[in-house]
Amino acid sequence: MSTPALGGAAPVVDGAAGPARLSARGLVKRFGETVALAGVDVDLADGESLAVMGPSGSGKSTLLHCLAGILVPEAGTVALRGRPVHVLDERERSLLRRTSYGFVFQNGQLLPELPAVENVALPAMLQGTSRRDATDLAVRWLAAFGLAGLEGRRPGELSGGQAQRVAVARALVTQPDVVFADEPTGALDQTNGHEVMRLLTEATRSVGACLVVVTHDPQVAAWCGRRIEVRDGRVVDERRTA
Amino acid sequence: MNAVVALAPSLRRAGGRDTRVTTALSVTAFAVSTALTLSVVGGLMGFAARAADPATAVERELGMLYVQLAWTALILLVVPLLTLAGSAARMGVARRDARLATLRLLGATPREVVALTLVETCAQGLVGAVVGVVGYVALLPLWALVPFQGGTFTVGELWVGPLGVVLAVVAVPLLAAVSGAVSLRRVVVSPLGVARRTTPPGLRVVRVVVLAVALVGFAVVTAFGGRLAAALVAVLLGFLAAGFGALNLVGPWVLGLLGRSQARRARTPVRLLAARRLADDPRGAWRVVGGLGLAGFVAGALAVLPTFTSGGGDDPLVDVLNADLVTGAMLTLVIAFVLAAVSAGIAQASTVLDRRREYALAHLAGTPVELLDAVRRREVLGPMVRVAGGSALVAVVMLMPLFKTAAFADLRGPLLLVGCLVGGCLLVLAATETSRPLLRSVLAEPVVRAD
Repeated sequence: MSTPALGGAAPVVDGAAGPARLSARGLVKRFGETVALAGVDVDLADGESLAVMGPSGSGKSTLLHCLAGILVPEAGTVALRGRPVHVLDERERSLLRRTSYGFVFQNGQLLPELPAVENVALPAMLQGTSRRDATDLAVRWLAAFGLAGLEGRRPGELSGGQAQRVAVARALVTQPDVVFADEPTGALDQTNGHEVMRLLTEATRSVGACLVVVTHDPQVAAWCGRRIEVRDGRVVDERRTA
Repeated sequence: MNAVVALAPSLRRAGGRDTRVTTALSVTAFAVSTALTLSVVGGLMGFAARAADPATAVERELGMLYVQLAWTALILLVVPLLTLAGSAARMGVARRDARLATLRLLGATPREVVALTLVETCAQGLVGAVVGVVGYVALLPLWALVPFQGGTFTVGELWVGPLGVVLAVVAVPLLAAVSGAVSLRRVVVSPLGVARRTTPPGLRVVRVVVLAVALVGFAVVTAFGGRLAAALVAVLLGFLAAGFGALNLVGPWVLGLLGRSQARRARTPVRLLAARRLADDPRGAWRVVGGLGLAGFVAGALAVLPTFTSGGGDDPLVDVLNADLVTGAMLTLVIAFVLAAVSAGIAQASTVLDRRREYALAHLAGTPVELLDAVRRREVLGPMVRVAGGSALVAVVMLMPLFKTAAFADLRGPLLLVGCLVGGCLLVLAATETSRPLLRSVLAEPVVRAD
């Protein structure tokens, strides 16, 4: 496992054409009477970043959770590198999320009793990396994210922006295939939000992962190479961000 | 009624299933501690009544000794009983923290926040006390089967009377209110106090000094004060109580040290998480295993009992006393283990509810449920084995001057000690497993929005 080589400060444009790393077809998901997804198709090419936008209740988070194997769609298919994900049982999907995906949530996702370095090292340890190697790796990731010297601080002793950078490092430490971020800047001010998005997009690209970001903020979406608009469970608009 | 305090019922209902579960657990804990406290006090009153108006040779000759032994049992059990009641009071508070902190941010005064909590906690304590009294009455026929002083007690002898019942119904809610108020200090001091978790302050070494003084005091008095035996009983009981209290002070400090040490050496995620959680909240861990620690203390004392009771000879009074000593010690031990198990089960369930968001997000990110279970189990098992063993060792050290090496001349003692500790640990472990379905149900709940 390696650490990222980061640089630059502007929103990036990507979206290299090629075979889909993550592909979803005809996704349908209901919560009781509510239709959250009503037949959604999404393709994500290698190294591509995608922003999923839409108003509250549009189905954008449900789409992320179906793509990530957290929820199972009632109809439709999801495949990672051509391998069907929607047919896996809970244990297999849990393993897939642990080994192939990284997650960044809005807040509250760091374990409060662990210092920053152990929060980042934990996913690597869960994959079998020794504690020493996982710690070394975590220290390098934290340094790359401008958090050198804060390794021993617990989440409660970090600012919101610092904690979210730790969360991004944790999502990437295992070099996943895809990183899923649900409103990753929702709890941050604009400056910190931009910094977190810069690190998230650059670091994701540097490890060769895809990125799916759910957001309602156009400025956040601008950091991704492509964005789709979801309304009433359907993709109503799709465009490159350039 | 104050507007904020009038919100109490609405806030409780708004808590949904979590509030119902924590309320049920709190009431259960109050009920168990009330029922067992009344049972032990009833036994003490029974022995005291017989000593005051002896009807048999045993009661006439040994009546006061039985009363002193009953007091000893009460001292041994009072800390776990209070710990269980305290845990019950704190349990709801942890989940109320966020709501109460929000009220503080909205302008509620500290007094109003405290009053709001006291209304809820007092109500739980009151319901628990009433259920506990019913449980005590239901248990009376069972206690009346236990042989003491060559016969058994009647239900009437073990009945604490209307005054005892009223005292329990008044004292338990009061105790609950005090515990709840203490737990709320963080919210009262700062509305943001519960919003951020930082490295907890260390527990001070002075706690070890208190325990050392109690230990040495007990040993010195027992070793050199034989000639003043009668007068020394009260002093010994005092030192025993001090040692017990000190153990409760030292326990969290030692667990904090243990957690930090294990966290440094941990090689696997399970060990690391369990150790960090222990280091993060040693007081919480002590509330889970402390009861068993005190039961270990009883078991340690019990280990030397066979030696003490083996010299009966031909005196029938001594034979009765010896048999009753074992019965009383076993009864004390069983009650202590039951208290520890209830304490552990309730605290674990409370932990699952308090950490539900952490558990759920970790699960979403692919952390296997088995790992969460293993961490939860290890969180209890590691400290439990060390605390129970360590406490037993403390008891043996304290009583060694009294019985010298003869304490271990008879193998029944050590065997009984090991058997009790293993049995107690298994009981507590079984109690913690009752939170396993709760963890599954917490993870099964959708934490994702239908968005």
